[in-house]
Amino acid sequence: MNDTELMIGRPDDRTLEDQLLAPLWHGHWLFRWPLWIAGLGSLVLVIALTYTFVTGIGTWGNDIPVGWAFAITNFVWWIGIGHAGTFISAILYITQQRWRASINRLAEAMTLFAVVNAGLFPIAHMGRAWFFYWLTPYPATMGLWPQFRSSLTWDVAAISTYGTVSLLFWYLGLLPDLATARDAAPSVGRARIYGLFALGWRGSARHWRHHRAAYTILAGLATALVVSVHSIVSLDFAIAKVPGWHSTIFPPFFVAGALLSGFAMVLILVVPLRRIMHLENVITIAHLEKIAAILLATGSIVGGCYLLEWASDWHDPDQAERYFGLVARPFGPLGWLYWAIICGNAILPQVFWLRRARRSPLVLMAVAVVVQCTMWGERFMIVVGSLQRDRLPSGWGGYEPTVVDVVILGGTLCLFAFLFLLFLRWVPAIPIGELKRLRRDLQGLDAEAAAPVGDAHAA
Amino acid sequence: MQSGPPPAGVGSGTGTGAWRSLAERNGLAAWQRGEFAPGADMAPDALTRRAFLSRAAASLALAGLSGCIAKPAQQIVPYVRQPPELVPGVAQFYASSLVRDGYASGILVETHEGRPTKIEGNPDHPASLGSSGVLEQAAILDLYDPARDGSIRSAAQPVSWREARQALAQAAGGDGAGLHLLLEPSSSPSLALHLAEVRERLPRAVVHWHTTAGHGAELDATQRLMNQPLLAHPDLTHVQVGVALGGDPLATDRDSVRQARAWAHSRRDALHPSRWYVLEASPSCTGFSADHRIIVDDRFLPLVAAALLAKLIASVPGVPAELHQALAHLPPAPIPAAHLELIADDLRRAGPHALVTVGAHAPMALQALAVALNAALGSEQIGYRPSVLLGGERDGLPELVRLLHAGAVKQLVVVGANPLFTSPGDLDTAVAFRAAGQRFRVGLRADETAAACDWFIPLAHDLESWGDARSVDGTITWQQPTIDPLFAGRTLAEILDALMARDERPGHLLLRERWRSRGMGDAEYRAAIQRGCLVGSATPLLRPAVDWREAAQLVRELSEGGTFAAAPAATGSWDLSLYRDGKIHDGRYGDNPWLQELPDAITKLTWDNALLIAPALADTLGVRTGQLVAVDSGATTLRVPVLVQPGQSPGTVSLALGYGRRVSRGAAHEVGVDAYALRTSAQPWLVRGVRLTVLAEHRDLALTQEHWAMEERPVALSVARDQPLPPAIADQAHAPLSLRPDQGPLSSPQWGMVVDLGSCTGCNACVTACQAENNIPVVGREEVLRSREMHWLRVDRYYRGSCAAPEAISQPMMCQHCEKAPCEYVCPTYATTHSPDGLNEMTYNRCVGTRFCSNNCPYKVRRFNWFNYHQSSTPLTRMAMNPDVTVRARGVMEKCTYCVQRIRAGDISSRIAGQAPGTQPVVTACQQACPSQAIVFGNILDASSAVARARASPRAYAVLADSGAQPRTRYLARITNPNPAWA
Repeated sequence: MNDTELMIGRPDDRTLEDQLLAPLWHGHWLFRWPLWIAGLGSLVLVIALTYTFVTGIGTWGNDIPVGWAFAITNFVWWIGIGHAGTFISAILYITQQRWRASINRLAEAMTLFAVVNAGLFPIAHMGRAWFFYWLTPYPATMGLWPQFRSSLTWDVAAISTYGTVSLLFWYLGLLPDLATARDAAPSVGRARIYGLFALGWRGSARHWRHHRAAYTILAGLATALVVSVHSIVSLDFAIAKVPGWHSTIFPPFFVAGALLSGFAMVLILVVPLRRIMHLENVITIAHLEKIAAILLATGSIVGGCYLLEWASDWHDPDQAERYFGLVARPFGPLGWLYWAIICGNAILPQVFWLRRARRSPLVLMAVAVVVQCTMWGERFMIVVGSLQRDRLPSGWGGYEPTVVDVVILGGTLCLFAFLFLLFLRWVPAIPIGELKRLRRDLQGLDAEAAAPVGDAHAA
Repeated sequence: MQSGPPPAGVGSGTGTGAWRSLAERNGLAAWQRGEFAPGADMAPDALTRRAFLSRAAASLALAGLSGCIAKPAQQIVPYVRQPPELVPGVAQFYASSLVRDGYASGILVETHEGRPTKIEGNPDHPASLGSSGVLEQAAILDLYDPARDGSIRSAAQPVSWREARQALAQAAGGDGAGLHLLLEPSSSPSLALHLAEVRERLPRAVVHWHTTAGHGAELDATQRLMNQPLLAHPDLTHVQVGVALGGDPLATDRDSVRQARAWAHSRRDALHPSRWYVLEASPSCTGFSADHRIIVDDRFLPLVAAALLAKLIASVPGVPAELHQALAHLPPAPIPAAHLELIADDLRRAGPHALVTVGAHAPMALQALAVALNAALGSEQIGYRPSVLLGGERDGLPELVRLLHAGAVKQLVVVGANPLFTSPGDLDTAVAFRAAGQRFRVGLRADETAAACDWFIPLAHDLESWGDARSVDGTITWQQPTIDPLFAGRTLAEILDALMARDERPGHLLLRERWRSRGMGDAEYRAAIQRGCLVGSATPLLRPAVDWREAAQLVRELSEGGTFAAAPAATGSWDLSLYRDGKIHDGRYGDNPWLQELPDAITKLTWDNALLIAPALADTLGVRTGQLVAVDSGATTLRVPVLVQPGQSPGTVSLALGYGRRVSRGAAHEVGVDAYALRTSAQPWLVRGVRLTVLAEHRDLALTQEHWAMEERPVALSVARDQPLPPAIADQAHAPLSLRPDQGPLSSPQWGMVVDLGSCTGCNACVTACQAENNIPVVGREEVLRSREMHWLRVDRYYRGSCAAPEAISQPMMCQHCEKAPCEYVCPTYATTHSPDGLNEMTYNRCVGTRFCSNNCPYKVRRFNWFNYHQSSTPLTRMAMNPDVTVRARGVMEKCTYCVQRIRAGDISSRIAGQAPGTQPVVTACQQACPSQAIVFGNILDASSAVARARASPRAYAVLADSGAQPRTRYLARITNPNPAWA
C-alpha cells in the first residue's frame, strides 16, 4: 500500500497547526447540543448505577443460574473495544506503521474512555460494592489477602495496569502537542492551562530523545497489554467449569474479538468525525482501508475460532460441553443470536476483500456498526448462553433484562460520547507533531518516487 | 405487614444472642400499639423473660424459686430431662401437637428464650416417630403471622373480652335455644367432656361440624360390608405387593408421615422389597414412587377394583355365587387385560402381604370394593377402627345452611374453619349466614367468614393452647402452649365456658381436671404431657369379616346405578378432579408465605394454582402452559391458567382447592383461582362433564424448575431390580484428572451426607424444614418468576420416557460440599472456603457478591440476596427466626451449610462431655424432618455410622462426578421393583 496516500496535500507546519487546533480555539457544533445530550445520558447512567447500588442487583435481570448478564457483557465488550487503541498506539508504533500517525491519539482516547466505562462494571455488579477494595491487596486489619486463584483478582491487576499504562502512554504522546497548543493559544489564560499540562516541554533535542525512549518503553509495555489484558478477561470465563466457557481457545479468541470490535469502534468514530471536523486530508481513505484490512483479518481469525470451537466440541468427551456447543448454543434459546453473530463477525468482514468496499465510508460505517452489535451479542451469548445451560438440567433457567440493564448500557455509550466530545473539545485530538513528521516523511517519499535513488536499470 | 420502620435500637441490641424482650426497649410502646392491632396488648408482656420464667418448668418451683414467680405457674413440662437451670442460648424442647382435620400430629416444639422457633417430630409418638411433614414444619409461621387478627370486635368496634363473654352468654340464653355452633372436626377427649357439659347446660343448642373432606363414604362402605362404621388403617411396613387406587398416602393423605416411613421400610426390605402399582388420573408423589403407574380416570377406578375382585374371589372360599354373578357381567376395565391379570396374580401370590388402598376421598363404591379386595386377599396389612372424631365425619354445613334458610338459627358461633370460603359453590352459604340473628366468628384471621359475621374473637393457635387430641390411630396426644397467646387468642374451651356463663378457668387447670376426672393421677399426667402422648392409647385394631352377601347386593346396586359404566366421556367434556394440595390444604394455610412459595411436589408451581392437563389434551386444545381456559361445570365458569402436566390422564383435568382468597390480609390475597366455586355438595371431588374453552389471555406461572429431562447425564439414577447398576456408578471409581491437589490425611470428624433416592417420595418436608431452620427468606411471586427463589434445598423432579406416561424421580439437591469445590477457587475474597471437617463454608460478612461462585457451581445450589429480602420483617415475624443462624444481608451469597449451627452445637456438647469432637450425633434439619428417612448424615470416617455404611453401598454415587468436584453428598440410586412379566 502506498504510504503517499496517507496525507492529502502536504500542508506546512503552520497550516497543520491551525487546522488541528481549530476545534480548541473556535469550537464546533459538536460541542453544543450533542455534548449536552451525552452529558444528560451520563447523568442517567449515574442515577441508574446509584439506584442499583442502593436497592440491590435485583433491579437488573440477573437470576440463578444467570448470575452474570448485561454488566459482565458490557465489561468485556468495553475492555475489548479499548484494545484497538492500544494496538494502534503501541504495536503499530513498534512496527513503524505510518498510518498510525493521525489516528493514534483518537484511538488511545477511545481506549481510555472504554476502560473508564468497563471499570464501572466489576464494581457495580458486586452485591456489596462498597467493599470493592477487598479485591485489592492492601494491608487489611482482617489479615486477609484477596484470593489469588480467582481470575477476578487477576482482573483487578489487569484492568488497573491497563488503565494506568494507557493513561501514561496517551499523556506522554500528548505532551508535545500540549506544548504546541500552549504556544499557539489565543489567550494568556488558555496558554497557562495548556502550559501547565505541557510540563514545560520545549521541544529541544534532549526532550525529544527522552521522549522517544520513554514512549518506546511504554509502547513495549502496552504491546504486551494488548494480548494480556483481554486474555485475563477471558480467563474470567475459561477457568470456570461452565460448558462453553472452559476452553483454552478463549484467550486468543477474545483478543482477536477485542481487536475486531475495537477497530470497528475506531471506524465508527473516525468515519463520521473526519467528515464533520474536516479531517479528510489527514485521515484519508488509505487509513480507512488499512483499518478495514484489520477488520478482515481479525474477523477471519474470529471465524476460525468459531470453527475450532465446533471441532473441539465435536469430539469432547464431556457430554455437557458437546451438548452446549452443538445443540444448546446454535439451537437453544439464544440460537438466533448465534447465527447472527457468525454472520456479523465472521462473514460480514469478508466483504473487505473487495477494494471498493474497503474504500467506501458508507460500507465501512455500516459494517462497523453491525460488527459492534454482534460483538456485544457474542459476549452476551458467551456469558448468558452458557450459564443458562449448565451441567445440571434442573438448574437450567431463563434470563430477561430489565429497563435498568438497558439504561445502563445506553448510559455507558452516552458517557463514552460525553468524554470523547470533551476530549475533542479540549485536547488536540490529532497528533500535530507526528503529522508534521509524517509530512516530511511523505515529502521524502514523493521525492524518491519522482527521482528513484540509484539506477534502476543496472546493466 | 408493611409497617413503618421500628424505632432505632430495636433488633440491633446487645448482640449477646439472648432474647431481647420488646417491652424493655424505650419508646417502643407507642409504636407497638400501631404494630399490633388493638387488643393484642398481651404481646409485649408475653415476651418478657420474667414472664417466660414464670411459666418455666415446674422444676424451678421445686427448686424453691417461688419468690421469682409473679403469678401462679402454668407448668409446661419440657420434653428432655434437663438440669433445672435453663441456659439462654440452648434450646428447650416441649412435646405438643398440631391438629388438622381433627387429628393430631405428635411434634416437639423447639423454643429459644421463651418462644417457639422450630417444630420437629416427636420420636415417641407413633404417628411421627420423629419425622414431620410439610404442614407441620410450616406451622411456626402461622403462629407469627402478621395477618392474624388480635382484636375482639363487635360491628367493627373494638370491645373487651368481658363484653364478648357477656355477649356469648346472652347469645346462649337460658337453654341454648336458637344457638348453633359450627366447629371443625375434633378428636379431643376433653372437648368431648366439655360438649357433654354444654349439652347438659344448654340442651337446645345444636353443634354442627364443618369439614372439607370427611369420612362419610368410607364409613358408609364399612357399615355396609362389616355392619359397623369403621375407618381403614393400612400399615405399609410389611407390604409386599400394594395397589393404590387413587389417593396419595405417601404425601398428602392423612397419616402420610407414618405411611411414608412404613413404605420406605418396605422398599428397603432385603428379602421381599415391596412392589407397588398405583392407578390414578393425576400424578402424585405416591404415583411417581410406584413401580408401575397406570393412568386411569378416577371414574373408572371402581370398575378396575371390581375387575380385580372378580379375579381374586375365585380362590376365596365362602364367597357366595351372587357375588361371582354380580361381577361377571361388568364391562372390560380400561386397562390392558394382561396388566390386570398380572396385578391380580401378584396380589394373589402375596396374599396376607398384599394391600389395596384407596384415597381418603374415594367414593363409597371404591371404598367398599377396596374393603372387599383386602378381605378376599386375607390381607394382614390393614385393620379397621371406629372413628375417633367427635364429629365431622361428614360435612354438617349443608344442614346448617338449611336451618339458616328456615330461620331456625338465632345465634351462630363459628369456631375455626372458614366456611364462607370452603363451602361448595352450590351452597349459598353467604346468603344463608345473613339469615342468622347474631353471628360470632372465632378465628385466627379476618377472613371471608369474619367479614360476614358481627362479632370477631381471635382464636388461639395450636402452639398457644392447652388441649388434647387423638392422632389417626387414636393415640391420645397432648397440646401444651410454648408461648402466651400473641394475639389474645381464645381457645374453644374458653368460648364454650363463655357460652355457659361459667367463670373463666385457666386452660392448664381445666385440662388437668378433665384428665383427673378420667382417673389419671398427677404424676402420670405430668409424664404424659412431658412425653406428649399416651403410649399404647391407640384404639384397638379390628379385622371384622366381610358380609359377602351384602357385597354382592352392593355390587348389583352399583352396577344398576351405572357406577361401572365404561363409556368414554362425551366429546368436548372432561372430568374435573378437585384436590387439596400438600401446601395450602383446603385453603387454611394460604396466608403462610413459606407454603405459597414452596414449589408443588409435582408441578413445581408456586404462588398459584393451575389446571393440570395432559400433554395430549394440550395439543388437542392448542394451549400452552400459562394460557387461560374457561372451565364450565354447567353451574359456574371459572377462568384458570393451564399447566401441561406429563403423566396426567387426557380425560381428566385437575385443580387444587384453597386458592383464590379474596378476603385476606396476608399472603393468600388474590393468589390463584377459587376452585370451591366449581365444587358441589353432590360432586365434592370429581365434577363430571366440564367443558373447556380456550381463551387468549396468558398468565405467567411461577415454576421453579423449567427443564426436567436429564439429558443423558448421570444425575438421578434409577434402575430396575433385575438390571445391572448403571455404568455411571462404576465409572466413578476413577476420579478425573485435576490440577487441584488431593486433600491430605483427614482428621475426624469428616461430615458427609447420603440421600437415598429409593426412599425419597418428593414430599418437600425437607425443603420446608430447611427454610424454617435457616431463616431462609420468602421472595414473592415476581422474584420466583425471575428465578430468584431462595430455597437452599430443592427437590428436583426428572421425567423419563414418554410425555404421556413418564417415569419420574425426585432428587433433593443442596450444596454438595465438594471436596474440590468449584466455588472455592473462584471467589476473589476467600468468602467461601473449606473447613477442616469437610464443610464448604460460606462466610457471609466476607462476601462482596460477585456471584462467580454461583456461576461455577455445577449444581446451581447457591442463592444470592438480590434485594434486602428481610426489609419487610417485623419484630413479630422475626420471632420465628432461628437465633443460631445468621440472617443474611443484601448482596451476599448463601447456601446449605450442612446445618453448621447444629454441628458446632454438637461439637460444644462433645467438648462439655469430654469427648472428641463429632462424637455427639448431629442431625440436620432436612434429615430430621424426612418422613421416609431418606437422608443420612454423619461422620464418614466412623465406619459404624449410618452414613459411612450408606456410602459403602454399591448403589452410592455422586451427581455429575465427571466434573471432578468430588462432592461429599452422595446419592443412592433408586432400585425399582417392576413386575418381570410386565410388557
